Amino acid sequence: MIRAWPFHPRASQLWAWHDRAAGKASERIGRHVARCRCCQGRVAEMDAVWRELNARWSRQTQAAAARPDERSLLFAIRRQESERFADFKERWQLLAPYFAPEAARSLTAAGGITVETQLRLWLGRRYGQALLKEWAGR
Amino acid sequence: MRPNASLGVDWPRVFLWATVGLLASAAPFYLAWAWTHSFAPVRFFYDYPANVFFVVIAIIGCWLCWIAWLEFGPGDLLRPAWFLIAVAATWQAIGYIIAHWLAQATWLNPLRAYLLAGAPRRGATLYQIGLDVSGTLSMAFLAAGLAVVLVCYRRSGLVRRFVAWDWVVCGLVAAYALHVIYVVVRIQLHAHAVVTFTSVLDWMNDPLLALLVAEALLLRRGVLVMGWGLLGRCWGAVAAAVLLTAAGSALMWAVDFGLIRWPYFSVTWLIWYPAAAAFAACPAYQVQAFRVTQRRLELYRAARHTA
Repeated sequence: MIRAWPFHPRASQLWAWHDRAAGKASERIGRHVARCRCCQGRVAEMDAVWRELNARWSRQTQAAAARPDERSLLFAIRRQESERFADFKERWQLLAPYFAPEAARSLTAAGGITVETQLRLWLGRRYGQALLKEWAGR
Repeated sequence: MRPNASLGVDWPRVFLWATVGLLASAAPFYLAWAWTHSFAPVRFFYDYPANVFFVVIAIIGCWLCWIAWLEFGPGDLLRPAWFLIAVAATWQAIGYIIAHWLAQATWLNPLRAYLLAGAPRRGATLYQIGLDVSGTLSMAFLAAGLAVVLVCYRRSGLVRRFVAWDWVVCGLVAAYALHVIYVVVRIQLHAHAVVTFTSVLDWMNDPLLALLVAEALLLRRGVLVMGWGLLGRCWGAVAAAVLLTAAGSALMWAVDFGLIRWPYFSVTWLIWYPAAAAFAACPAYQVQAFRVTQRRLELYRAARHTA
């Protein structure tokens, strides 16, 4: 179930984390995505990235099946890649309501300016740090 | 918990619809003018709904600027920027109150009797003071505030260089500012006219506008990188306000040089209303960004408690 939709500035306001509200929020997000071309693009992009990642893991696992000694190493790489991808995916989402999603993603992917710096610059230390703290401990 | 419950009034949307409503409501007054050949309906439009729009939107914009400033803590780079922008918005609101309310001999004005009883120049003088306050004084603080914002953009790695088109626009505005300075100096040398505080403010108007246009174009480049998020909209709105003001000034120059003639130039007055709305939308988006952040923090805390 979709619990949050940080891909679009207006739809990012539809955040709902309580179980009771999650169903309703999911419906609203679904309705928004159905009529928003911008969000449909994001969904397609994310799907493509996951498909590519899954395909690569699948190929690696098949190759490793022939050489069992490499299997554990490949699984470790796969886990690491998965964690890195999840971390990257989530961290740029912190900027999503304030920056356009593609800008937030490309800025953080470039690695020059961190999400922390951007948040502190544009929202101030109080909000920037609180957001990072709550995000880390959620 | 209802989504959007604590986000409050969506001020940018209010400003957008108020501007669209005002511009759409101008059409019947202009049609009545064309139909009856009497300027009274258009005069009524500019005296009442248009002036009320100016004053109300400037006051709300000023209030939102001070809220944005209060949300930043000491040591934040954008705090001095928002202070300067809030001072600019305060001067603008004071100027609009003087020029579009107290200097107008309308029934809404408590000084109506004073204006009508005095010399005919009384209202015009008050109007000029209002324009100087909302124009030059406000622009000086806004230029300083935007300079700090550009430092912030630079630290974020978002500042991009001018393209050829930006140089053309800046060059045109700067050339006009230099032309005005040349004319002023020539008049002073030949006529030895008395230099007053308001005349000095008048002279500074165009050079300040040229500086603001350069800043607005740099902001626009940064906003293009930042994208259409809440902060991109915030600084995009102020860039739009400055560029619309420059466009309004360019139309005034076209009128002064006789390129646009009466009655067509009266339509050019309408450009100042989207400009005022765009300026008020800038703090509105920043405040909305804070409200979204507060909401996200509430939700994260709620999620932690329920987990």
